Amino acid sequence: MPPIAWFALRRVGHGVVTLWFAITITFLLLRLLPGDPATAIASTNMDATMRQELLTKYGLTESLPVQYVKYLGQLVQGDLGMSFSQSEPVSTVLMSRLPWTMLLTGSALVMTVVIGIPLGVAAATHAQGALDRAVQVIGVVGQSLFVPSVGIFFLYVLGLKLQWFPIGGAYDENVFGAAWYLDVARHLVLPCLSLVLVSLGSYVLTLRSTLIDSLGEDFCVLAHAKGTPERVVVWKHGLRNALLPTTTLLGLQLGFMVGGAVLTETIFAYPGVGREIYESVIRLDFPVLQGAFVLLALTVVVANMLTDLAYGLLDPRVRNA
Amino acid sequence: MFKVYPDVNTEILALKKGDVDVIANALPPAQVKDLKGTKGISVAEVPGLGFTHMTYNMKRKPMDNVLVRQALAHAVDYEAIRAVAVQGQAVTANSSAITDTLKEFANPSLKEYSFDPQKSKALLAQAGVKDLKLTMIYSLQDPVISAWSSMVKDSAAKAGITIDLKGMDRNTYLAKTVEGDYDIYAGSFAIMDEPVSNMSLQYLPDGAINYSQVNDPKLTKLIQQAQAAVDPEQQKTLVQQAAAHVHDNMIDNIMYVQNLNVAHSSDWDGFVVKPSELLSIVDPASLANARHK
Repeated sequence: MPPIAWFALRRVGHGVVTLWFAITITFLLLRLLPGDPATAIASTNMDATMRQELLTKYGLTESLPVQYVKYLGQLVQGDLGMSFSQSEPVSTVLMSRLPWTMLLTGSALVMTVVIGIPLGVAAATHAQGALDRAVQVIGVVGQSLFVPSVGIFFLYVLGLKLQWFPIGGAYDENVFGAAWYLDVARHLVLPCLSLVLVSLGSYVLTLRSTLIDSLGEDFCVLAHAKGTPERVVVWKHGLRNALLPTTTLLGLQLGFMVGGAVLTETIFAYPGVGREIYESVIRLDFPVLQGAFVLLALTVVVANMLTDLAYGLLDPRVRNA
Repeated sequence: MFKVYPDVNTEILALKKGDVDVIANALPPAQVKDLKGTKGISVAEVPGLGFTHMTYNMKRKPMDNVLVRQALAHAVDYEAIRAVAVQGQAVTANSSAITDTLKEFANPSLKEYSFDPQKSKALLAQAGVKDLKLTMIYSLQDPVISAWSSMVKDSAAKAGITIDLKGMDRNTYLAKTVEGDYDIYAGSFAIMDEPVSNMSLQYLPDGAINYSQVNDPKLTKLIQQAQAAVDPEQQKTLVQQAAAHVHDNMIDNIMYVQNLNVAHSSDWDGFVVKPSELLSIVDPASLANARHK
């Protein structure tokens, strides 16, 4: 089997083990919390018979190992259980929300890369200059920002005072047809901007640092000596090596963004998985929380697997190891 | 059309911008003052149907002693809590389980326990209790109670009572409440609109929200008689007697009734605001009565 295939197989294997671990932790955490879900899902006026019926309905009367095995079996079949509060399959609840979260985090990730790479390159190629210092300040400030604060600030200034963007939501219910897509894009701007502002800093600073190191390596010095244009040295030779650690960072950032989406979607009333998680915490809807955590874990594991595979494609030393 | 905003700050910005005409939920105290001063926004205030209270677990010593409970009640600065933590948006409940919002059933003879640390000390001495140390549970999801919990601790300290605050997430709080695993419980009831049912749930031994863990034969008898009464005046008298019994024996420390503040665009009027978070400004009667100016 070719090395790249072995590499891919190993990474998929690691991913499956990581996912199983995340599922198990999620399962145990929610069941080890104080109180039983019956308290959360029904009135305190509930009598003992009703409580028992509810617990039985949601499979909470069986022993923990039995619940665990049944839960794994259900997961394999794509059954995430029933929402306590909405009496709907959890998979239906989450799948209706997932596209919005993917739109938001996907857009934020793309914007982070599209803005981050040129900024990082500019900072690295003007190291210690005014531009570099400005980028470093922006990067550090961005890392220090708290998504809800940024979100409220944007809503206040850009939404309320300047009236440039709508306050919350993903679309206007009174817009139809082709205009709807533009409306969705307009509603996406502020939440996406909030996420980008918070995640851009670490990306730019990491890229700047790794690119400065790359450009000082012998192969770049040789390229310069051979008369290779500066643009080619930076973008073809230096950047390809500098992208290796930043590619890994992207995978981690996706996990951060998906988690950050909980706060962002709550502030912007964006109808994604993150907001569903927030509302499920309030409603103590354990099956939805459980399903959402599994979904998030799957997203992060897959994203990291893909970045590892991309890393292997970029760096032959990794895939041949 | 109903729009759902999980965050209160966002919904207020939406009202200010004009994306929505009315906010259905009651506003947190911290936001009311700002909105009252905003052009184009009207804020209506009504006394709530519920109340905020602390209960002292009567199944645990020394809270089974009425003198200790009264001492605890006199160690709370109710005025300061209403002024500071609730920002003046609450009224006294006269330490009565039947508040003035239910005027027909309220007992006019009941007055709020005074904040008197010296009296607390004297009552504790009379009860033979020294170095009283208690834990108080409350939900961290309630920002108002979270705000005044430290005030309760500080004022109790003036009476020589040590209160260990245990703020916790809602599920843990509910679990401890159901199990009766607390010395002092702090919480709120939003809708207390039917006096007899409410008294039954709160103060009968098997009551679902008997957070005082009370089992008082005299109180039980009064409530059961009120349940069985067919004459409205007789029922009212029994409820008032039961409320007086709860008050005098400090079975439940009713601290205040928080006013509900609801906001809407000044372009609309005619809303009929109900004193209930379940109905508030968006009940059918209110919406049917609303008119665009």
